[in-house]
Amino acid sequence: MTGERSGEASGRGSRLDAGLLGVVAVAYATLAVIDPGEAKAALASSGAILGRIAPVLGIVWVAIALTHLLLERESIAATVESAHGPVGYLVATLAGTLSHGPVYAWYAFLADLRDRGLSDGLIAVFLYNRAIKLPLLPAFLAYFEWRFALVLFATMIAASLVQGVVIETVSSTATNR
Amino acid sequence: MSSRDRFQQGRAAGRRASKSLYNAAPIILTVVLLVGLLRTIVTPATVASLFGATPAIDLGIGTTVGSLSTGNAITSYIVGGELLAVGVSRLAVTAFIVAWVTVGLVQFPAEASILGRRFALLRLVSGLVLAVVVAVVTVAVYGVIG
Repeated sequence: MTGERSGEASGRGSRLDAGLLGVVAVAYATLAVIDPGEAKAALASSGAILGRIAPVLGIVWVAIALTHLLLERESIAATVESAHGPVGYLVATLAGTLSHGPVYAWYAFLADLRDRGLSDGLIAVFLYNRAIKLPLLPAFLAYFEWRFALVLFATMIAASLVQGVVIETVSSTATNR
Repeated sequence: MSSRDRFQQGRAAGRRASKSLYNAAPIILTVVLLVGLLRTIVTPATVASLFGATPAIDLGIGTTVGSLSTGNAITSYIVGGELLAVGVSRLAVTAFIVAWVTVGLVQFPAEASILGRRFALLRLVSGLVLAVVVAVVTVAVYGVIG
């Protein structure tokens, strides 16, 4: 059931992406009719952006491949499952930053781990830190300075721990009522 | 493990990486084309006029638009970087990126269904608040060391 749901969500997402690309293509076609010069300038501008990010996407490809090669979802899930206490939060943080793939697939794993005792707080920390996608760091650095990246991601990790503690506290309070 | 097994594993990892980028390609291309279009027909002055009234409004716009957006994180980096280039405040851009990658409004139904409505709602609300806090803290600290 969960696999079907994640497959449905991915299919809807793909159709939406294709639809959006179609809308933008129509916008370009319309502009080309109204003002061919502006359309050409817009395409040139897009080309410049693509030229800038293309090499970066190559590096990202290598990073994602390495992540798949070195880290399997099952081993990440097993590591998170065994985590407890303050060390558990650290493990959940690391596991989140290293996790990959669509979030829908991870929901199913996390639901299963929760049934086996994983706390809501650790689940929240793991999910938040999925936002820090280390394989995509080269793409981030193409636009932002490394010091900014360092401060942002460190702050996000701190925020994930805050969210984890808050959710754990609320969940425990609700359970104990 | 034999070298043949290692080769097979490497090839499988490469295929999965290709699939990840292939799935993201349409939306990345869409955003790049859209940014190119907007850069041409919308002047930086127009974009900047939507922001910059007050830091609070910048935060609100960045957080709201980011939380409503979805897709590969690379897209948020491209859009955020281009907004910064045309003069939108770093505060708004940071809130936009953080909200995009941490606040899952689009994923909320699936998360609520699988992990529970209370958990998903708690994560959503705290994520929105934290997007603002992270943006403020990040910009403040970067302003000192950057």
